[in-house]
Amino acid sequence: MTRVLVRRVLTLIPVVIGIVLITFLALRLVPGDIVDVILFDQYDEEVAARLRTLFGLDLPIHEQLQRWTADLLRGDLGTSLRTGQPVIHEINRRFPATLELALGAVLLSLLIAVPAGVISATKRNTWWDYVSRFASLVGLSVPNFFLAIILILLFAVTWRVLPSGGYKPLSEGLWVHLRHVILPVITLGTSMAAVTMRMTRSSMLEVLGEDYVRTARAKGLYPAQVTFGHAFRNALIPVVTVVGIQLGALLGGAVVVEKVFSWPGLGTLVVDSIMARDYPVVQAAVMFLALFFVVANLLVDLTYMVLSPRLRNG
Amino acid sequence: MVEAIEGMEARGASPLRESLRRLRHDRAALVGAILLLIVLVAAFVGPFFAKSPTEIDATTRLAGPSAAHWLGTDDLGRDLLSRVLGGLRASLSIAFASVTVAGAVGVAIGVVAGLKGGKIDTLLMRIMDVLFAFPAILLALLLVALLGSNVRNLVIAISIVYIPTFARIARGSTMNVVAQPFVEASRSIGATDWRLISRHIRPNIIAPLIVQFTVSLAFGILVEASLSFLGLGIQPPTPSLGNMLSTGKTYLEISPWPALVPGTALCVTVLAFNLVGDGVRDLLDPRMRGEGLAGVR
Repeated sequence: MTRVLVRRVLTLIPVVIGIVLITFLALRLVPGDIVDVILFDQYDEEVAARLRTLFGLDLPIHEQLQRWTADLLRGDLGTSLRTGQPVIHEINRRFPATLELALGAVLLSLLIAVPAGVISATKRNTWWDYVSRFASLVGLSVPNFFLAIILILLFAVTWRVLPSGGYKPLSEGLWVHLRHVILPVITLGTSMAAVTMRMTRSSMLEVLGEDYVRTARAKGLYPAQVTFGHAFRNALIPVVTVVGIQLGALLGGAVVVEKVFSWPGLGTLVVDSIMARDYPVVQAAVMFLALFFVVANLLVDLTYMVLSPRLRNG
Repeated sequence: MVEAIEGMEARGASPLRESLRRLRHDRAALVGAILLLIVLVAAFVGPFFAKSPTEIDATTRLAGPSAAHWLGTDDLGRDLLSRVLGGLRASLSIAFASVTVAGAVGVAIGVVAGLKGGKIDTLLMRIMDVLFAFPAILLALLLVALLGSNVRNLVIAISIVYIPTFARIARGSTMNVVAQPFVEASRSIGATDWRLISRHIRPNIIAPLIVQFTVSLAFGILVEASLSFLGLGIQPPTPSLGNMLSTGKTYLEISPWPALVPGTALCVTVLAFNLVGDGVRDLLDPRMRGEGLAGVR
């Protein structure tokens, strides 16, 4: 188990180095240089020269990389051009909001997708199966920002029961906080549920066809015992992988959905910073989200190992 | 000699006819194909018959459907039907161009990696792993933000996002083919790499790539729409489904049409590609039936 774990963590190293390199190079591969992009139509030699010194763009590229990694290791992600504050402060402040959305969405998607997938598989080719399969197809095809708009149109504009966006901290009361969480979490959670449901269904179907399930049925166990005792746990393994794969889609989707609901997370930070040409923030936030995705995938893989003894020793 | 050995490969009787026969029995794919046909005709033929998508009419702002404007008008009194047709064309063209570029570059990388193996393989696939580590929309967002938002850069950004997917699939299939005895036989009588690729690898890896191509189109459309929705894709007044939705959201309190029309068009298009993608997958690779996951990121 430890050996597998260590090996898994070691494979992360090149990926992490790659992410750091790409986010470093991205700002330097811009046509012209990043200062031209930032100043755009208000180009001024003096300001440009000062910005180049600030970013270290006047140094040779290997020294820039050295400086950037050294800063990174000290937890210094640069300074925002807009606020003059260290970027790391802004990321720390906004990360919990994004994490809350992401966790809420994963939880909701599992609550919908796993039961729906299991029912769909055990009651194959019945009314239940058709409805949940159709629902998942629709869920796959409705882009989350359009779903967000439909939810706002229904719950905020037409029925006026929930706010159309914004964020209230927990300190203002649990219900006040939750009212603002509901729509963004539904938006992100349902699109994720669509894929997870499909996977749960096909994985359950496969396991239900296995010999040991037939044996369990043959020795006279109740259907529920077979479904949950024998099939379900094994069917869950590929489902866990799919949840991991989808975390990327979830984080990408969060960027758009946060913006729709004016949710003050990292996604909104990225988009607003792009609009304000605040590139140090864009660079750092994108890198942070990519690293978060990598770490989250590691956690998913660990869950996978716990669920599957074969992989634990593999 | 090479010709003689290669001539011994079995050839299917008529794969196209067989495919069409099976497609007729797959109702979902058939519905998808019909929807797709409607979407394509609407996008590429419709604009010739519609009003101007950029003509402003201050007297009919945010109106509902009427005889003059079948799907209503937007905040500047522009005809929503004409704009949605133009937007569809833009979205489809960008998605098609991006996925084609991604496919061409990705397959080239994957085939070289799979054929050469060793250090070249490791290096290429590590680079792909890193690109794959970024959430798709985030990577596209970063690239467009840095390159500047115009159609060419949108295509570049979206294609870079999908290169690793094609590279991985092409590499895996190539490695499977290369391990076969007939490739070794071909090599031993002196066939060049190029000959191996065109005679043995290409015909054997094409099926999963076609599946991926269809599925990726749906995702390409979604990524383009997301970027345009955030204001980083196609810039107004040129219509795109994403930027129309973004405007529509602003006027939800007054009229739902400017948001519902482009949103519905987007859903129907993506649904059509998903249905056709599932159908093509079932047709070409029965083992993957019903999973519908490729490309989700």
